[in-house]
Amino acid sequence: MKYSLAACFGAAALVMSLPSQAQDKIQWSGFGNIAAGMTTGSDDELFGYDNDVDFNPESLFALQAKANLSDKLSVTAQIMSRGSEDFDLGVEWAYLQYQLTDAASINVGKLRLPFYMYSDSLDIGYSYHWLRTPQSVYRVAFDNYTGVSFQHNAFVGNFIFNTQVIAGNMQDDIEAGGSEAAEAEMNNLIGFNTSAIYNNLTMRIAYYQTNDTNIHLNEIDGLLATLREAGAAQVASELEVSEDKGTFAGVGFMYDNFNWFVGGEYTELEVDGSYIPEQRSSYLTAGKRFEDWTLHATVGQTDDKVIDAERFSVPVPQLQAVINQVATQVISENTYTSVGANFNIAPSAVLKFDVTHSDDKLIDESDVLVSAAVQFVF
Amino acid sequence: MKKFAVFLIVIATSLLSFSALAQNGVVVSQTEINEESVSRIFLGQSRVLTGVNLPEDSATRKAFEETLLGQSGEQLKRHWAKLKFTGRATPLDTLANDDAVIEFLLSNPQGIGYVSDKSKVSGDLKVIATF
Repeated sequence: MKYSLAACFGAAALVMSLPSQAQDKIQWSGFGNIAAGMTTGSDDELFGYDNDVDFNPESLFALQAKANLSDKLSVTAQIMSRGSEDFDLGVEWAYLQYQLTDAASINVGKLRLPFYMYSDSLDIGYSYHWLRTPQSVYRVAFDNYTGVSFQHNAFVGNFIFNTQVIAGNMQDDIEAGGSEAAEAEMNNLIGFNTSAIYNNLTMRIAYYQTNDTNIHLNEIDGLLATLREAGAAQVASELEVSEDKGTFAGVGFMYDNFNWFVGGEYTELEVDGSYIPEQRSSYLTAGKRFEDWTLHATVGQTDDKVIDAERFSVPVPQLQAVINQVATQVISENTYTSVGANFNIAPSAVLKFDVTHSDDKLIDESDVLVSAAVQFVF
Repeated sequence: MKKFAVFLIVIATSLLSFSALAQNGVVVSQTEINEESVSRIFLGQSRVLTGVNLPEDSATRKAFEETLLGQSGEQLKRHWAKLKFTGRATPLDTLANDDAVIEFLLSNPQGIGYVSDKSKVSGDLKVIATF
């Protein structure tokens, strides 16, 4: 949080140190999400909610300032306050953008990691039909990276191709395994995504990789040390996420003829030589619009697989039990079913209702979350 | 009574024929460009020309968006919110009325806009599309 506060002041200072001529031209805008939810069962927990009504997990406010330094160069900062982080201010985006040509631009700074179709607009609930993006797929615990991004639009026949190529590093405190905070770091991250838009149909592919993924999880420090003392350093290194190769691949589509829509995504994430299983995630969504109402439904699932469990085997049964616990704790085999209704309450605000049923196949437990939100832009 | 009925029929047919023939407006620019590019500019996909809008409550804008872009104002608002907050495009400027759009287009050869009144198209301005 110290880092984001510093970055926040940095961005504010940057905006304020602009020549007064540019200050006059700062374009201010913003968006917000006021969401409340509760689970129906007294022991149920889902997406940060429990059986008591809570506004904190998904409520957020953001303010964006953009200043044009020339007709090609601009600076943008997006400052966000999230309920899940006690409404502390943080810098979500802060970047310089240079317009290379009519069709190409380059961004440098703190940017959104565009793994998924809706990664870029993740926080702008107003811009998509869900109350929240499907958590079966949108589950990588970090959103931003620092580096560069190159964007290009091409028109081929009746197709529009939007391509983005990125390179950078990511460092963040994340929640891993649904429990303790962990430090994650990815270096030399490179990748691309391309969307092909043909009339009402958008198809997207994405691929990213890094040769240096590190996740420091306090919970398993003791286990790793014990393994190394017991002469099983090889197993320790197979478990630990340290300088490991990570890959992410995703495909998605959305057909929207403005009367009804259908879409879906499938993603695979792997971190070689670590306790992290191969994560396979998907969802399908469809909906119909009626005047000011939109009704929609989404089904999603996670289907994780441990890659080569043999590499975790040790001759000591007690130790093996602890290792197995670590390796299975992070496996997700959930199905999610959601139905939602949206109502346009103002030209720039939408009221959304959502009921999501989650079923954890591994522990045979299901949870139901009821939530409502007002999402707006200004 | 009969006269009144005839009167009603005349009014009704003239209203119908008026709405059938009525043009909502025209897309105007000094630069020749195809209709597909017009959509791309107003959907934030292309910057070959600088688009300007009429106010959100304008009937001409509504007709332009529904006829030429094939989207409702609500859908476009969501679309542009996404573009703006993800750095994909800068929102287009909004001008007050036909006259302001014409004035902007006369002094900006790289500008493109739409107006309700075709008779205001003059000088170097060309009608790119009708809606």
